[in-house]
Amino acid sequence: MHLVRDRTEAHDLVQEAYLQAWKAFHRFEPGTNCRAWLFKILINEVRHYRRRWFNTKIVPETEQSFEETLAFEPPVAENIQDEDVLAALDEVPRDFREVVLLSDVQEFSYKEIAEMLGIPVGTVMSRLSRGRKQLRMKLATYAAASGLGRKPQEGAYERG
Amino acid sequence: MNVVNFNERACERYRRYFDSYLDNELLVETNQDVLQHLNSCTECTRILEGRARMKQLVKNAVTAQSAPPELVTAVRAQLHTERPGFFGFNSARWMMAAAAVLLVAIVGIGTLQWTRFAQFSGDDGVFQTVSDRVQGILRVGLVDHVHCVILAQQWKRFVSFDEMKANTRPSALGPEFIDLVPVVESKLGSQYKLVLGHRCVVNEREYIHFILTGDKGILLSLVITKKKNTETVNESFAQADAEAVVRASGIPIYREHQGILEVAGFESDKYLAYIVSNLDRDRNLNVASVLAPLVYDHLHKLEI
Repeated sequence: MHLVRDRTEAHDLVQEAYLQAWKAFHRFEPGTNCRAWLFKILINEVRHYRRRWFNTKIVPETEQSFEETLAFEPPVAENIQDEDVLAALDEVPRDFREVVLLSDVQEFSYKEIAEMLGIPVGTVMSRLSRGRKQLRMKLATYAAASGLGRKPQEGAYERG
Repeated sequence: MNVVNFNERACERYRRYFDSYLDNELLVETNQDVLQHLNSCTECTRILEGRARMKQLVKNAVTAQSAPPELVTAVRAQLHTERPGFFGFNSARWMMAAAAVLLVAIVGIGTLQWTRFAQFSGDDGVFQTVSDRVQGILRVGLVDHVHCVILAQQWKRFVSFDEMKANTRPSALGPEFIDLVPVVESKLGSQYKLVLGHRCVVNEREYIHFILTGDKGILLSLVITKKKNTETVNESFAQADAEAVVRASGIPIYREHQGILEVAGFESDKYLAYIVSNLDRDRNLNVASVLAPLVYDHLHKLEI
C-alpha cells in the first residue's frame, strides 16, 4: 500500500493477505462492509511484515515536523505529475500516509479507518490533517525545485 | 504592542474543519458554518480548492496504477490450490468468497506499491485476449453482478413473476423489460431458475438485472444497461479494438475472465448486455449465445 518499498516483498505480502482473507471468509459477517474487512486483513499483513523486518521509526503524535509548523498554505502547482505525487507520498511518514491513502484513494469513512487501524477517530483526523499538510508542502517544494507553478514564498505575496 | 487580526483567527478556526468538510464528515450545522465563511472569504476558498485538488491528485496518481497481471494470476492460482475453511467446495458461499477476495484484488490493488514498477507483458492470458477498452466495457456488467449477487446476496430472494409484474417501486422491471422474464426462463429451461428480475443502481448507473441460480452453486446474471457515449467515453464493443470470441446469429460476443467469474458481453445500438457467472468459459459463452439473439431483438424493438 505504498508502504512496502520492495516489489518482491509486496508480491508475497499481497498473496498472503488474500490467502488469509480466503481462509477466514467464514468469519466475514454478511451485511457489513466487505471491502473494509478485506483491507483490515491487508493492513494486518503489512504490519506483521514490518514487525518482522524493520524497526520503523514512528513519528509521535505530538511531534510536529518543521513543515507542519508553517502557517502559510502554498497554492497547488498546475502541472503536477502522478510521479511527483507518488514521490511526495513516499516521503510522508508511514502512519500518516496510511490514513491519507485509506481516505483519499479508498474513500473509507473516518470511522471505518479507525476500526481498521485500531485507533480513535480523533487520531485518524489528526493523522489525516498532518499527512495532507506534509504532502502539500513536499509537493510545493518539488514544484519550486522544478519550476512548476509558483514558489511558496512567491504565493505569500498574494495574501495581502 | 501586539496587533491581533480577528479575521485571521476566524479563518484559522474554519481551516481546521476543511479536511473533514472535504471528506463529508462534518455535522450539518458545522458544514453550514464553513459554507457561510467560504462565501465571504476568498483566501479560505482558495485554500479549500487547493486541498480538494490535492485530494483528487492523490487519488488519480494511485489509482492510475493497475495490478500486474502476473500478480493477479499468482493470487488466483494460490486460491485454486487452497480451500477456505468451513465450506464445501461447491457451495455458493465458497464461490462468493472467491469473488469477494478477487473483487478487492481488482478494484483495490491500485494502492499497492509494486504496481508502480509493473510493465505488462501480457503473457498469461488474463488480460491479453481483450483490449483495455473492451475490458472496461465488460466490467460495467461485472460490477452489477458483484454488487447484487455477490455482496448483497440477492440471489437468496425468490420473487415470482406475478410479484415482479405487480411491483410498482423504482426497482420494478416495468413494461419495457417484464416480458423478458418468461422468454429467458423458457429459453434456458429447467437447468436454471430465474429468482429475481429488477432494476438497480450501482455507481450511479441504472441496470436491468435478472438473477438466475443453477446446480452446484452456479449464480448467473443477465445484465442490461444503456450505453454511455460522451466525448471522453465511448461504450461500444464494435468501436473497441478487439475481436469477438464467438458470434450468435451474427451478434458478436466478447468475453473476459476475472477470478472465478466469466463475463460475456454483446450490444445493440443503445444498450450493453452481459452474461456474468461462475460457469467455465465455454458454458458461460454458451448461455450468452443462447440468450443474445432474443435479448438483442428485445432491445432492438425498444430502440425503434
